[in-house]
Order: sequence, then C-alpha cells, then structure tokens
Amino acid sequence: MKLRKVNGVKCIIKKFYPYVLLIFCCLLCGSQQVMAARIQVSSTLGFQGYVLPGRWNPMFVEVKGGSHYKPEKLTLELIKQDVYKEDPNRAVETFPLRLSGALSRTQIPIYINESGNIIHIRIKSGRQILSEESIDSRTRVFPGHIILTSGLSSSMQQAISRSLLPREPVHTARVDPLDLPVHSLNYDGVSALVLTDQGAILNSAQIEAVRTWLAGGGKLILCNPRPAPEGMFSALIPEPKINITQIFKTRFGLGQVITLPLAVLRDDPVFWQELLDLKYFEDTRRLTAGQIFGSSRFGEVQTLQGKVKSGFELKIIILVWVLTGLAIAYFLNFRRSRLRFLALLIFTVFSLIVVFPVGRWASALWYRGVPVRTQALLLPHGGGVIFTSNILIQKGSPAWNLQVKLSESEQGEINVKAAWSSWEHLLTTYNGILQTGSEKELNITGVLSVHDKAHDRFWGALAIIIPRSGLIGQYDGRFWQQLEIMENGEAAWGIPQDRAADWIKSKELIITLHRFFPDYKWIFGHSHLPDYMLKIQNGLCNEVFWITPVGMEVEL
Amino acid sequence: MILVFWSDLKDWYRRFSTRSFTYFLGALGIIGAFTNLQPQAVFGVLMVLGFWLGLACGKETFSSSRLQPLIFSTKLKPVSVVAGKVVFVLLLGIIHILLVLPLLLLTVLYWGVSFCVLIQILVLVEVITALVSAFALMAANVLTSTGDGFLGEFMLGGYLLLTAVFQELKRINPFYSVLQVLNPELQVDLGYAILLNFLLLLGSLIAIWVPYRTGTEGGMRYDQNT
Repeated sequence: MKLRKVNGVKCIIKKFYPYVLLIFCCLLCGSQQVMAARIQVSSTLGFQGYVLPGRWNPMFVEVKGGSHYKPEKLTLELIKQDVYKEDPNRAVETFPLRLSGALSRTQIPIYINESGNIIHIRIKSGRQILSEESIDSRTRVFPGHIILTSGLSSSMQQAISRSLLPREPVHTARVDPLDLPVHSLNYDGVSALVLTDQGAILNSAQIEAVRTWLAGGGKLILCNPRPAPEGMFSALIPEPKINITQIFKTRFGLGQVITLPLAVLRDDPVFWQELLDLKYFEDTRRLTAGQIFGSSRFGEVQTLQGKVKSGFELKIIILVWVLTGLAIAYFLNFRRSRLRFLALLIFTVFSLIVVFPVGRWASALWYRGVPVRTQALLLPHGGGVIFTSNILIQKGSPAWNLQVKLSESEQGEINVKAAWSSWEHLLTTYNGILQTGSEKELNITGVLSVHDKAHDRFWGALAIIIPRSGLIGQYDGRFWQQLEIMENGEAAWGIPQDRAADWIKSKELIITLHRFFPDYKWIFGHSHLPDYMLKIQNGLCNEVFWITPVGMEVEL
Repeated sequence: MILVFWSDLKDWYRRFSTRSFTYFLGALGIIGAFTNLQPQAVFGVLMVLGFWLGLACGKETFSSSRLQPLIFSTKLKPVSVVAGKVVFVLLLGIIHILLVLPLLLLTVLYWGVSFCVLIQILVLVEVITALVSAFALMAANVLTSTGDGFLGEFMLGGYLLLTAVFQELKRINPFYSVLQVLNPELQVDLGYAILLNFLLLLGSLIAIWVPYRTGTEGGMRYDQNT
C-alpha cells in the first residue's frame, strides 16, 4: 500500500514537473514586468512648467510603488539630449532611489542650454528599465524673470507679472513653501521670492539653498515676518525688523532681504517694479552657476597636466621586475630544470597578484595628460562656493577610460572606448551635478556649503582657501595687484599694475565679474578647496582657481 | 600529436627557454621603461616578438624532431604531426604571454586600456604567431627541398607588405590593426583581423598537410634528400 502511494506521488511529480518548472520560469521572468507595472512615475520640469534657457532648472520626479515590506533599490537615470548635436545620449547621470510603497519625490537641478534640451528619464532596477519618459524643454522656454510667490492674492500676482510691461512679461509661479528648492542650483533662474511667513516650516537644506541664492544676488520679500525663532527664515535673519507700516531692506551678500507687513502691498505694477528693483532680464546680474559658469566659459583657466608624473616610479618598477625575471631565468638555469620552472611559475603568479595594486597605485600618480579645469566662486555672507569642473579628453590624447571621483558619494567615468560618459550619485545628498557631458567630457557644477568651517563664515572660508605660501591677486577695475605670501607667513603686496601678471589665467572671468559688479573688487588665487576633492582615478585631486568679491572699502 | 608537441616543448625548455625568455623580458622591459609603457609601443613590440617566436618555431629552431622525419620515419600521421607542431606554437605563445602578462597588465592599468582590448590583442598575437609559424613551416618543408633559406621570410614580408599597401587588406595587418585598436578615438575591434588571420592559418596548415597526405611533393623531396 505504502509502496503504491510512493509510486503514485513519483508518478504525479514526473507527470507535472515540466509544467511546474514552466510556471516557475514564467513567474521568474514575469516578476520584473510585474514590478514595472507597479511603478508609477510622473515628472515635471521648471516652475509651473516654464524653464529658463541657459540656467539650472528644477526637475521634480515622483515615483510611486514598491513594497511596504521590502524597500526596493532603484536608479533614476537622466540623459540630456541636445537636438542640435549629432551624437546625442552620450552622458548619463544616475541617482539612487529607494521605494517602499510610498511616494518618493526627488528634486534634481538640470542645466537647460540656450536652445533647449530633451530630457530622458528612466527608472531602472538593475539593468531592466521599469519606466521611461521624456520631457521636451523647448516647448516651455521662458527667457525672462521668474518670481516665486506664496500667500499673495491673484491681483498682486498679476501686478508683478505686468511690472516690466510693455517690454517683457514677468512669470510668477505660485509655490507651496514646503516645495521650495532644496538645492541652490534650482534657484538659478529665480529672480525673486515673495513669501508670507508661515513659521519655521522649511528644512535646513531649503534654508541653505536660499542662503546661497541670496548671497549671490537673490531678492527675498518676506511678508508679515514672525519673530525668531518662529520665523520662516530665522536661521538666516535672526531678528527681522517688524513694523506694521514700514518696509525694511537688509543686504545679504549681493542680495537683499525685504521684510514688510502684508498690508502695505499694492496691486500696482510700478509698486512691485520698485520694490523688487526689477531691471530688464538681460541687464540683471547675479552670481549664479548658470549665469557665471554657463555653457560659455570664461577664458583659459589653470590646468594641471602631470604628463609624466609617475615616470620615475614606473621605470623602477619595470626594471626591478625585469631584472628579477632575468635573474631567475639565468641564475637558476642549472640542471635542475624543474626548480627553474617552479621559480618562474612562482615569479609569474606573484607578479600577477601584485600587478593590480601596483598598477592602480601607479595610475593614480598622474592625470594621463588630461587637464582638469576647476573654477570656484566664493560667495559672500557664507553663501557657499559655486564650483565648476571640466575634464576633457582632447583629440589625440592617449588617455583611456578615466575614473573621476568627487568626495566619496559621487563618481564618474569618461569611457572613451565605449563612447559614453557617466556621472553617478551614490547617496541622495549630492554636491556636483552633471552640467554637460559627452563621450569625452564631463562638466560638473555644484555648490559647496562653507558653514561650520569657521566662526565668521565668509572670512573663515577665505582663510581656509588662501594658500600658506604663494600668490593671490586683486583686481579693482583699474589695477591688478598681487599679494605674495612667504613660507614664514609674512605677506607683501606687489605694486599695482595696469596689466595682469602671467600667472593669472582667468583674466576674462575676473574682468567680466567686475563689469557685472563694479562696486566690488575681486580677490582670486589657486589653491585647494575644503570639501572639494575631485580625483582622477583614485589619487590626484587638482587645485582650483577661486575668485570672490570683496567690498571696495575692505583692506585685506 | 601529444608526443610531437611534448617533445618540442622539452627541447625548447632545455635549450632555448632562457634565450626566448630573455628576449621577451628584455625587449618589453626596455621599451616599457623608455616609453612609460606606452600601449602602442608595448603591444607593437609584443607583436614583433610574436613574429620572432612564430618564425623560430616554424623553422623548427627549437625542435630536434623535425616535421619530415617525424612523418616519414615514424608511424605518426601527417595530420597529427602538423597539429602537434601548431599546438606547440600556441602553447609556447601562451607561456611567453603569461611570463610578460604582469607587464602587459601594468600597461593596461596604467593607461586605462580596457581589458577587452587586451584580450583581443593577446588572441591576435597568438593567431599571428601560429600563422607565421605555419608560413615558415610550409616554406621550409613543402615549398623548398633544402628545408631552410629565406622563403619563409619572403612569404612573411609579402604578407606584411600586401596587408600594409592595399586598403582592403589593412584591417588584417597585425601591426596596423593593433595600432588602430589602441587609438581611443577610433571605435574598432580586432574581431575581423583575428577571424581572417585565423582562416589564413587554417589554410596554411591545410597547405602543409595535403601534400604529405597524398604522398606527393613533400614525401618525394624527403626521399631524395635522404
């Protein structure tokens, strides 16, 4: 009886196992499709759909789905296509995504060039694409002032929109303060922020983004400000001047903070034009990444081209290896041929094991002739450092796949052989964003915070950047001057001259910045930036050309 | 087949291994040190060394047991002898590449050349070594009666010249294709060069084997010489 039962089970298994196997395979293959079906993605670009060309614009990507019990690790892939270039889709930027059933909202700054881009957004699980969509920014281009408002009536909004008519309209976008940008690059196209104080509802990233934007020349109008610490921007303006009837203007770096009671606002375009001090868009100057480090870069910058930096070390390695090999081949060439064979085998295996760390170490000693250009703009009032780095494999360069790393959480690859570049963010917090890229180039732009570096943020940051010995320069619109810092800490100003010294490479940038902001003199130099470590391969990081505005009255 | 290549391998190891190792280590080491392991220079020299190795094997410099005596004085089949000789060349190529592989890996790591390109070049070097050896073997055993002379070198020179002059054949020229694949701006791969050179190798091997199989030319000459 038992035997028959066992045989029966065996028979059933034999009969049905191909079907079970088939169903299992189908489930395995289908699981990815099921997952793809569960993911919902929606993305928007710019403020209320309008994007400013030649500037950084925010992109909001909302992803919904995943399991509540098992968070899924996905990647968000962005590919920016320039429709006027022959080879699109040559640079990919990836962001990590974690889905756990709830809505995941990601805010990413995107640089839109003057002619507009098509942005391709892909959500991927491993190599499988779960969702894909595209946004064509060319249909939503608005080359003018964008002003973000919250808590204003429609008539006020319309008044702001008409403030520069008949020459140009102003776009006002109503925003929820909780949706304000968390990355300061997203404020690149924002000319002013008009908000009613709703209390301390903003997170620290939002506050820092506003700080950077203000320091670079942004205008914040805060209606009905609350006293600290309940105020919306108490961290920025600890004690706002509160008065029921008056308007108070405070400078913040190159920007301005205006606090006023709601009652003084009028739905008159002239009132808003005067309050915001709005000039025509093309005459408006601010220190932003898009305006200063846009697609047209300013002149030549200091480059490091350590072409044969590791030549000596490499020669020593090769000679040691060859001599060891020859010594084994010759000196063990006795009648004991097996011993020689064994020695050669050990030599080869040992060399093969050792070559990987040695090769990586040697490759990290130089740039392979690839220049890395970095310019940084140190904003006043602790606004942070706007930096832009360009790595370009020039034509005829023997350099191959280049690995690039910014700090520990961002890395990239300029893969010449496979003809694409990539920039990958390993964490959801990031500093450097891919501005433009191709199969041979990466342009990384970002903002570094300088807070907690020193008690006095701006001067503290400047003190960190200024080299212990070497040269820094100053330009006030008429004269170029240089300060030579000795090894012993002593410093001496050189005689002011009409023309710039040879060591200053970015003259065009300095002159342009002075033309934009003639009320300031500009201090500049080459040194390492704290928190900024753009490394080629796994070792070298380059020096940075930095520049910062200082009031004419300030003596260094 | 195993007997043939094992015998050749033992002969090489006892008498010529030191010299061939010295050539490989010395040439690659000197060029590597002088050029900071410039990939074009290192892999170009590797290709030249592959030519030398193939020519030496084809002329049976390393072997005491030669092709014709093996075929006519033993019971070994011609196909086994030819296959044994080719396996010996391939094995010898692998041994030499293994010896200098650390230096090649250092080149790849130092310059960032992809491993895919490295593998392609090594396969091409192997195929070219075997092809050169087959050319020399054919020249020495089938096309001439004396068993030596410069016919092998002439054939080799002709092959290099033809593949260097004619645009259509350039893609199979080993030096040209290696330089092309090592240029990061050109998106080329060596698949075509490897395949066509491999087909040439097969053709050469068949050309060596067929006369002995039919018992005509090669056999006649050997009888006359002995």
